[in-house]
Amino acid sequence: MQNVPKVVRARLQQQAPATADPHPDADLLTAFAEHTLAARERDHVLEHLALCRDCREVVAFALPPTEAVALASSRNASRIGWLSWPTLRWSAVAAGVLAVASVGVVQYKQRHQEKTLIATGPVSRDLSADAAAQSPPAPNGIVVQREPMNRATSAGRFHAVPAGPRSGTGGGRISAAPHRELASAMTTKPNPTPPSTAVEVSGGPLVATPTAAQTQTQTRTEDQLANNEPELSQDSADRVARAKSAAGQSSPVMLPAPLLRTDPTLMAMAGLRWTISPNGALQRSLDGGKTWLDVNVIADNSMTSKFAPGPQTMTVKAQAESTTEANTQVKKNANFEAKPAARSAALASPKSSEGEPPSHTIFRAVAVSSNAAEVWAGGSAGALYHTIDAGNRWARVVPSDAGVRLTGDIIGIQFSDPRNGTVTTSNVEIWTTTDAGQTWHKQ
Amino acid sequence: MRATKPISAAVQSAVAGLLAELYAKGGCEKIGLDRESFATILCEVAAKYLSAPSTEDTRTFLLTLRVEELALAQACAAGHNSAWEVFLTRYREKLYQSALRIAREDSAARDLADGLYAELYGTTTRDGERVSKLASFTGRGSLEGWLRTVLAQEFVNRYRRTKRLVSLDEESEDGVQFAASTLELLPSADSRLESATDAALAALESEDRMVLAAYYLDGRTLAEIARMLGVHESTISRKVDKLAKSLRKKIVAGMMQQGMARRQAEEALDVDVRDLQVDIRRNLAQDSPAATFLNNKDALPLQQKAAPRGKS
Repeated sequence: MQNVPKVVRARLQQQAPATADPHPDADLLTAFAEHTLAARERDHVLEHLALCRDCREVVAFALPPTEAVALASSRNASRIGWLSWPTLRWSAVAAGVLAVASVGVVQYKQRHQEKTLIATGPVSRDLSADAAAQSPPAPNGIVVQREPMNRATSAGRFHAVPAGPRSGTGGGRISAAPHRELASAMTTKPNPTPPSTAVEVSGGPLVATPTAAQTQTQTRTEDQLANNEPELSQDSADRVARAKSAAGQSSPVMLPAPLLRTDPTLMAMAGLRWTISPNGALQRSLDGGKTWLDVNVIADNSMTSKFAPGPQTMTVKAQAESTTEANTQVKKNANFEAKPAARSAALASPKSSEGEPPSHTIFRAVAVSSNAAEVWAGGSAGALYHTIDAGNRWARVVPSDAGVRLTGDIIGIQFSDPRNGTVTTSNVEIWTTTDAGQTWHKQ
Repeated sequence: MRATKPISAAVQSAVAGLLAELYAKGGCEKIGLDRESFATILCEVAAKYLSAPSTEDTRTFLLTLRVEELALAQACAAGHNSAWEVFLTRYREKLYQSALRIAREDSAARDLADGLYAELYGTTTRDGERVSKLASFTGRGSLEGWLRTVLAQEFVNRYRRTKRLVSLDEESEDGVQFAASTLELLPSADSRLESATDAALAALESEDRMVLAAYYLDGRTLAEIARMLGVHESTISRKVDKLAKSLRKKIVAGMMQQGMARRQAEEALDVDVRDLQVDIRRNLAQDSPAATFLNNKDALPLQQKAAPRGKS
């Protein structure tokens, strides 16, 4: 970037707005920062800004938060140098995104053709032991199949295969972690990864009728695990044995559990945790809370959620509001505090991905199923997202009732089961659904 | 909001035509704002920003307003409790978050936000009536953005006051005798260079001058300036580069028009005597022991005779 002669800087600095030229009022500066001024007024404001450093400072501060966040990060960036090829740079980024998306779509289509691996009978003791040693054991005969990772996580990816009715109670248990970790229904010991960790899947049953393909996959899984996994500790093995005995009493009337995607899907596993960071980012941990990654719901935004709820009971965890304070406290079954609602953008349809998602969503509430695979996350400006595959793909949900859309900040989400849920907003609105978010009613 | 200009018939007509629509859009009834008051507010806003507008121009202008937020702000300024509840729910936390983003320090941010909050609520009175800063909101931009702007203005004002105090202290330490001697010593910049530079800058568009000032004086990055103007960063990058080159050419051309040869003009542009000026001022401003000044006695003979900078 070519520099200007010092005399130019000096003359620029010496120029000051005329005494008779008042500073633009806050409304005009706001409209300028939001790029909503008419041409003539904009030129007038620019004329003043060219001379007045204070007003330039005010405009910079008045930029919307998303831009202000980027401002802070861009201050450290180099002002010259690599920006000389902006077109090529952005083209490379776009090409990379397109390539990743293409790979994801192809793999999804391949995986979608596999049948759900559902087992109703007891799993062999060795299999359970092997599976549990790696990560959460399968007290109800859940078969885990280890697959190679393609995401930067420390744990492996699993797709859980529920094998029978769970012996737990109808409600979920929340472990009040001292840190910002969001408790899932799978209560864990302080160190979730060692073999001694026990995992209990509470909530309603997840059962289905096994098919030949499922049995075949199960056999393949058993072989893999037998070759790769260490033995389980006696404690976990005992839990598995107790769960298997409960699994043997399955009810034949249950509907199949929702189809969960496999590779590269992050299937439900014991290490899966969800939380909201202090700055409102939705985060996921695959290793029981040791490491956390931001979840970009917008990048993964897909079509309307296809989740067909079964009779399983969804265990709901309440997430406390993230504040500007240091730690986020987890509240058990708490209603969320009222949050200020931002003015929302217009959205296209009640439940679709056609509306333009907010460029930066500040999440305030999240509800997680007992297996942590199904998540409802809500935040600023009516942003409501839903995933059924542990966050691999998200659907943007836009509640609407008689032409009125949910536009306030979402501060609370509660689901007693996959179909029945309630969303509360900062402008004291309560929205309910009885069909897993397909339709909504504003109270 | 108090009207500063008379309200024309065209404005009144436009407001009357749109009142029902804007009243419903603003949700005025829910927050306790009656139609007559809202109509008055719309007339005052239009009168404030429009000069001799037609009815159609006024209609177009009114439709750009953020009527819901305008109604809310005015209802709060009027003291309607239901409006205040909505305002607090929506904007209280955002106010503190914006203050933190501006002040970058928790206690200063809370101080800033609390001060503005008191002004918004209307802790001061005028003629027996509570005066709320929200009454000045006109709906040209979002209420949230307006709150950020007002916070920023207050922050800049506070910083300016603090800086002015520091400058006064420094000025008294420097002493008047130093000022007189430095002025005699400092060589002034070539007036032809200054006039050519002024002419070149005056020929620029206001947006270009603003970009130059933000980049070279304020130290803003290209990305920051791009966001301020609502354009892509690469646009600003190209603009700055282009401006730097064109300014140089114009200044040289300007000096040549005043009788300087090209080479002389380019040298005058590259060698800025202000560099020497800056060094001299820096030396004079130092609280250094006498030995330091003695080393520069050839360049600054008067320093040896200058009265010591005493801090009693």
